[in-house]
Amino acid sequence: MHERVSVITVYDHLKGTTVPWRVKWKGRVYQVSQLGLHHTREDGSTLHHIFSVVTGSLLLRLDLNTKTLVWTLEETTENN
Amino acid sequence: MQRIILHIDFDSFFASVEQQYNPLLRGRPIGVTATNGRTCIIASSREAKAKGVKTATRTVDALRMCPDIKLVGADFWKYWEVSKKFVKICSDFSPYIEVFSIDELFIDATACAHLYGGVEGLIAQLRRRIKDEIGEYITVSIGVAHNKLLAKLGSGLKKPNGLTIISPVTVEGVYGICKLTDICGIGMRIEARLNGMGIYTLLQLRKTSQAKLKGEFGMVEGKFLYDVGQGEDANPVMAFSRDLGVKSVGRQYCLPHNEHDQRVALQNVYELFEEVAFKLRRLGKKARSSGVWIAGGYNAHGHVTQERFTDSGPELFDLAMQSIYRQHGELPVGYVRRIGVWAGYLEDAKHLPSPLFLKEQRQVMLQKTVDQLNERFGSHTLRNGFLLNSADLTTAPNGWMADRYERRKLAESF
Repeated sequence: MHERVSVITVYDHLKGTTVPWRVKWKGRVYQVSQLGLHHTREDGSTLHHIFSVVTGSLLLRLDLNTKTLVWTLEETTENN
Repeated sequence: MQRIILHIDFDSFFASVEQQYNPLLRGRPIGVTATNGRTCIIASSREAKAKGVKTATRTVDALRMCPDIKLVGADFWKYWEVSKKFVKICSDFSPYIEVFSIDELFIDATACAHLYGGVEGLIAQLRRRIKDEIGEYITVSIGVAHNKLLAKLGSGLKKPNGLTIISPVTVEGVYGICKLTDICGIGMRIEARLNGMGIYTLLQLRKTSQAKLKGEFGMVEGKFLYDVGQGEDANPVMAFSRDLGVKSVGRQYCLPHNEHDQRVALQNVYELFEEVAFKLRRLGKKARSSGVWIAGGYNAHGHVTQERFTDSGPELFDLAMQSIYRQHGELPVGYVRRIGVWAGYLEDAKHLPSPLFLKEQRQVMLQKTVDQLNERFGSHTLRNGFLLNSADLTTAPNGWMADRYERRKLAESF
């Protein structure tokens, strides 16, 4: 998909974690109800943080490019 | 002092990571499949295992056994990242950790268990950190014993999320409920030979003399089997950070479908050699032997050893293919299903003389520049024209963590 999205994140200073909280995609706001997995990936010298998050019956794969600080929605999966 | 060895094994690793990644898949039977179209299950979730779907089950059979199974393409980078987090967590508990494969490792906690209130305290903290830092759906089964052999046996006895502690006095009881093949190192062939000697259980093996076992299996294997019977294993936990050395570098690939186009088959061989050469360069090695095997509608293999050392993909490709062409004249007719390439007789590049002539020096500079560009912008940014329009074979970590460079990088990150 690779669509740019707006993301509000929550940083927990005690745990040292950053987690997406709300995602705005195509004018609609999605409230994140659950974090699946957070992992990193390297594309050349660029480090990407990947978050899989659940909103309703939808799984979103979000990518934060640490070089450009651009959030991208890479994939959506419907629960079926 | 009695050693305290832990063997920690992820439960249904690939499938659990997929269920951690996608919470909507939790509690459902899932099967992880290869992403290039090959049709067998490489890992199944606990729910799928309960319905008989195991590793290597064909997807068509899996769907028949379990119609509601959800098939998910494997993502080895995801598993590698989880494994890296796991190794880092474990290295916080003890410097003595041995990574056995992508989803299991040994910890020697002899000198540090008391810091956590004993081995149970250490395990409780370890489980909590896995839950907090990796995910709540990822669980591990743990075996604790005074040696690696029994710790590994123990981790397989209670799954999932189990803990088995074996001490010298409980070995006999544990052996009473285990099969010969539950022991790491005893496969079906050794089992059949033991059966031929009238040994069907571990308790019978325990009562067999060393001389009898050495008579049948030879000095080394006979001694190993005797030690198994006695529940003994003096092997130390080999620290992950030690340099393992490299004897050869290779890569295998199973094509997405039976490939009848010879050009595409050759492009795949070429690409694998480019990857092997890249691995050689980042390890600072050069090879003077190059080999290839091709399997499918025909089988062809060969290798050539030359005087000159090289770390160039095209040169290794030409060298290996010479042996095929010498035997067959050209690439045999028929489809190609699997290919494998390797480079051997390695030497540190820094111990070898630099190229003397300008043309060769330019080639080295060019290769260095191409590597730098690919490392910066991603692999396959620049590739040989022969590979134009061919699919990218991305390197993915394998289940054995055999890539020495990746291991070194991980060890250095602690």
